[in-house]
Amino acid sequence: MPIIMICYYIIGAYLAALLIWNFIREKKSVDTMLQYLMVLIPLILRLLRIR
Amino acid sequence: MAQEWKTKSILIVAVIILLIVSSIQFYEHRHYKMPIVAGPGVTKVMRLSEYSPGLKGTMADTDVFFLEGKEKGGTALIIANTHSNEPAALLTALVFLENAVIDQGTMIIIPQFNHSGSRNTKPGDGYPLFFEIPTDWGSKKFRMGNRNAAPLDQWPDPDVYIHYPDRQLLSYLDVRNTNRTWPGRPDGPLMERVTYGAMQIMKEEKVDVALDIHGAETMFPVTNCIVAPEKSMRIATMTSLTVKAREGFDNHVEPSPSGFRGLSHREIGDYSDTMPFLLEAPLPFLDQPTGPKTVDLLLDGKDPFLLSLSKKRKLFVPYDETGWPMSKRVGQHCSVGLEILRQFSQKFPEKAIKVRNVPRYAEVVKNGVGHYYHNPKEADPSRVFLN
Repeated sequence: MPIIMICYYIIGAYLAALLIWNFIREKKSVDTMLQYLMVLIPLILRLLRIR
Repeated sequence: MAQEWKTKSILIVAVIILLIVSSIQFYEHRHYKMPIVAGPGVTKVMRLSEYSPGLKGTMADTDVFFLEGKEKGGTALIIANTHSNEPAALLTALVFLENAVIDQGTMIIIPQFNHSGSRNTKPGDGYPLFFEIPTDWGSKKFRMGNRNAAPLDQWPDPDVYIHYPDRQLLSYLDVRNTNRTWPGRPDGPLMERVTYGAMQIMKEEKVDVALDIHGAETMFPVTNCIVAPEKSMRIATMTSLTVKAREGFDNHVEPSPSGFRGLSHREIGDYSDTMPFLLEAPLPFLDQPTGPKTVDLLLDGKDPFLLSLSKKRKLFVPYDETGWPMSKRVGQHCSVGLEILRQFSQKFPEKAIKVRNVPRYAEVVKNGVGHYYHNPKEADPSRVFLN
């Protein structure tokens, strides 16, 4: 795997972690919680390498 | 606290269900194998990676069908699904592949040129994943593809695509567009390796004529036409005049711009001895101001918004309540392709390419496209290729 791809996976994992963290911290807004989870979907698929 | 995590749990479960359902749908689409029945003219089948080894083992590798005549003559290459969201190209290639008999010369057909592009779609634009064509024995199911290769196969995109070898700056997306990556290189990005493979076919098999089949918006001026560079212009003009006179449909000629790099009609002409022709038929599905992107719109091309625009003379093609059905588009491609080969054979009789058993415009419109496809269940299994 080229270095650039490894970097993209690391960035993907970092963004996924940020989204999960923000989802946990969100207390009230159901809309915002849902948005964090929806944005998380493509990152999870990419990290799991589902093709 | 308890209420908060109750809500979060419900959301997580809902999103997981959504994730699983959508993943299954996309996985089925990406891995669906469409059967192609090799017709009486097919003599051998190769892989594009045999001409461009950098494709071996990748999703961009694709089948290359050879139809060789008994008598020596010229060689024609038909490229379809350069853009996999323009399916009249694939349907036309299959009409040739499943029916054509070559009396003289050779025909090479690549039905799914951007193989990776045919395995992703545009969910954000509401594209259907599949469409079906009615046939005499049931219906034939096809994947609906995308204009560009799947990012799963070629990633990451650059900020700007620097075309090889002219170094013209193109949109970042064009690095995955097999009509911007010509003439390609053996070790470039995946789509450059695809176009490089086709260039190698043209050089090694001494291809005389290359037809790259497309579809274009009715609101785009380069539609319903043959795009040709200088060296193909005479044959393109004769073809346009002949189909208009004999078969009654318009198909004007557009000159290939010399300053716009990476396109098949430009680079094939400049980097090989082959005469390229790019065939465009109207494709209302691709227009922006339409209703939902449904299978019906894809197949019959009927849309009330385009009809309204047509009355205001905003379209570049004639358009009425009958839309632009698939049979009309495929019929045009068949006739224009056959006429180009006939004109070429008249001009260069020593390199003639004589094809029979392929329907022309009126026949396809009358019988429908599916009439020309064979039932893979009844065919000899050794003649069925899953693609």
